[in-house]
Amino acid sequence: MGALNPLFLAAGIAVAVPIILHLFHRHETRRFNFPALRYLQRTEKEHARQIRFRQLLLLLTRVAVLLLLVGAGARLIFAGLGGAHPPTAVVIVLDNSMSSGLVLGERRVLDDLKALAHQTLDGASDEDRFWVIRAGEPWMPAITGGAAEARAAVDATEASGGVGDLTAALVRAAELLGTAELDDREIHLLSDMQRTAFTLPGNDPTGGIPVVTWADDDETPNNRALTELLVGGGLPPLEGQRTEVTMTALDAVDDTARWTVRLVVDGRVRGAGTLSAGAQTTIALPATALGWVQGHVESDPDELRADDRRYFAFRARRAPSVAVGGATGVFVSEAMAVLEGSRRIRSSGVGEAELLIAQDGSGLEGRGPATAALIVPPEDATVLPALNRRLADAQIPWRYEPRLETGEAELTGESLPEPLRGARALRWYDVVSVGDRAPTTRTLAEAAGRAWALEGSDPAGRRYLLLASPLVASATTLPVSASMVRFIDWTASEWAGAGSLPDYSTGAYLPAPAEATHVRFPSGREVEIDATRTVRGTSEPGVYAFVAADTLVALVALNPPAGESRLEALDERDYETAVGQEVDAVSRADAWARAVFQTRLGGEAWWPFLWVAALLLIVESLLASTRRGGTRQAERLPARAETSSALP
Amino acid sequence: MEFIAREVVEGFLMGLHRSPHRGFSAEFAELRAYQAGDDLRYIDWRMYGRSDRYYVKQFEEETNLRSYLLLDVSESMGWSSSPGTLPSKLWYAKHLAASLALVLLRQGDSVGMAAFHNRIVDRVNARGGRRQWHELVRRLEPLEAQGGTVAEGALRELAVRLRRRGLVVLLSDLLVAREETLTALKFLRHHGHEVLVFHLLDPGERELPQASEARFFDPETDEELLVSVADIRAEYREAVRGALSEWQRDLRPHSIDYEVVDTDRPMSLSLKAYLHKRERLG
Repeated sequence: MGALNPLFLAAGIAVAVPIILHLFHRHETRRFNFPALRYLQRTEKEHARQIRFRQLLLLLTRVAVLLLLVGAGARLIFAGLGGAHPPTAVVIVLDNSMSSGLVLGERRVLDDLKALAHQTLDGASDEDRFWVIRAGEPWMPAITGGAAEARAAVDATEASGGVGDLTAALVRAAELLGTAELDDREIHLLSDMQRTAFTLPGNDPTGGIPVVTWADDDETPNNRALTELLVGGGLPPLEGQRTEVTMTALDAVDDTARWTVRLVVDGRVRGAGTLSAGAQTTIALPATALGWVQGHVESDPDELRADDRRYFAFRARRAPSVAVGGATGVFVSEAMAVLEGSRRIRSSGVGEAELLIAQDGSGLEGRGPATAALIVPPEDATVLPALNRRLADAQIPWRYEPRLETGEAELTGESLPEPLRGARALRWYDVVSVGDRAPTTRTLAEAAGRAWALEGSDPAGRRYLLLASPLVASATTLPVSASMVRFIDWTASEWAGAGSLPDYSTGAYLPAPAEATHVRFPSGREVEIDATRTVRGTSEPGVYAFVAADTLVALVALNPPAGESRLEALDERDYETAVGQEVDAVSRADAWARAVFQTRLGGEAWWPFLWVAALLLIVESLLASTRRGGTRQAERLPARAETSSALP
Repeated sequence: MEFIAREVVEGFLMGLHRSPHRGFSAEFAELRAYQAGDDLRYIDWRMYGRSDRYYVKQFEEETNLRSYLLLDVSESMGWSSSPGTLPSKLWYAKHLAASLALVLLRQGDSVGMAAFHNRIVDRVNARGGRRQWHELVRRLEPLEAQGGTVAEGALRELAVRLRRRGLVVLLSDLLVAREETLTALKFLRHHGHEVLVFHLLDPGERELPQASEARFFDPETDEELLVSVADIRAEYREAVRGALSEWQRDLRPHSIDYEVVDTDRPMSLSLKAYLHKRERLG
């Protein structure tokens, strides 16, 4: 409730007048000589209660009339009566993440959300300011403008294949509203409120800004989704090598049925299997020729189509040639033997090798012009000066300090290679740069905050990888784990130029290969790669092709994020935690229009006030005329009392 | 007063009447059979000679009706709601009494008067003749409103003193102790008097004055009452009407005539009430 003329409310003090008159004030009473006092006494006695009741009724009527007149004059407005709202800054967070493509009944969830957005925009005024944030496309800037621009943005929104980070979207919305000049601000969260879309606890991401959110209470169906796909156990197959594809289904409590999955390679079905909720199945992948291979695994369509298919792409290449310098120890030797036995690598001389495993820096001086080096420090620190000299000779600007860190630290890092995940360092050297660090240097792994694996390239462009720990059991857990073979294979593959199979989800920022000039999206759209060398807007699941002119440089598969397939909705009790303290959850579409624009001016209701006041005045007149019933008759009598007997 | 009373009375002497009481006076009325105890002087000896039976002669009683005018001169009687235009109740009562006396005397009745408030303040014995009226007027004129009204004592005292039956006319505003006054009137009636009550009422007593709130006080008792006049006006009117009805209701069963006399009403109308009463008496 508000008032267009609030100053008039001060006139409400007038209400006190009849009350004071009734309770305290007496007229300047005249005194009458009146012998028939006994009749008055009798009347007072017989009608005292009735008179008091009538006086009270008159008082209440007059007070009510005054209040109504004040209300009409102040032009009170009531939110419940509809009406306009003050100019409001609104951020519409439209969740177009993959799960919004879910079909319920005959409609997509996203279509319902867009219809709600339209309700918001239908109730908007020209003074309102809108931003539209597509939660499923976080790389897209918010679309700003009036209701018309927002409507166009909403209409153009399609379900992305990406993950929806609603917590981040809400923080972003609050930041946008922080820049708004309007006092009234709201966030309209239009989402299926998928639990995995929130970071819990949210710690009030909206900072107290009112949030109106859609809380659909429809039951979500069991989703038969493929959540993981692994080709060759994570290692890309080599030329002519047979391998297998392993896929995992989303676990669902209520779904015990099995369904069919098909393996499609280069447009042809190459195998099939069955899956049940939470299970894995493996389909053999025939040997492929040298070159890029792309394919996917698919299941029959269900209510959510986007996660019924998972893509892969790899380059079938020759096994990389690997040379060993120095005494590498039993762990490296065994891993090399395994990989060579499975034709993942080939042994060669140092000069021809694509990768040199340089124990204590041995062999660096004999490298070929394209030989990358994996430099492993010695177990004995007294050998370090010799290693440092070799590094200096090879123009690698790093040196090992004899300070040996001890303890147990898990390897971490933003670019931590998959084979190093879970590995721990027990002893490691301090690796320090010599002079200015080379611009191409990148820390791949850290142990307790110190570099453990450093990647770089020398002035000749030859790549190297420095490890801080010797590959022995007393220095790191890597050699005694199953990851050792994969680490060597990864190193060989990575440094041989083929690369491993990256695991990207839709929405990820794709780093472009150095030689690529364009990227071709799964839909066929081709975009030039900009100076950031990063591809954004990867909302389409599928295989992205990096090309340079007409030459294919690389293929990268992007798959729907597994979490998006979990359709479990956030419990309404967690809304305040996840969304904010000022959240208003609406579960009925017809209630949305009333819930938004919470600081409505409302409808002005001066006319019913006046009507009721007029009605009450009539009632008051009737009451008053009842008590003045004898006046007219008295008026016919000669004037008497005032002039007759008033005593001084 | 004499002039006004004469003016009022002229139109109302509607014919003389005879005493309803038969006695032994000069004018023969009839004969009746002798009964033991009859006065032997009234035996009609001629009839005895003719019929050999004793008859006694009866005559029309020529004695006049004895009337007593009882005038309330208490403080409340001196009140007028509009002194400039309306007479006080006492003024009206005195002139009404004078008029009644003139009517009665012209009919040959004897008229007496008593003025009272808490006690009898003046009294004139009942006599006939023109000089009696002048005496009454002379005694009425100086009466002034004063004192309270305890009518019962005065009325009882009068009842004792009025040995011969007659007509008792009470002129009062009846702002008196109600039950006691009723008892006294019934006492008069019990002693064989015909009783006529003129209830004098100022129009200002029927209607409250124009004021939203006022303080009223009783000149006799000095009691005060603060009243919201507007709130109580209609109820007050009903209360007055109810009080008058109660007087009427309580007096009628005892054959006591009751007449409300508004002081803004022509006095002749009040005399009509008297005549009506007188006609019923025969």
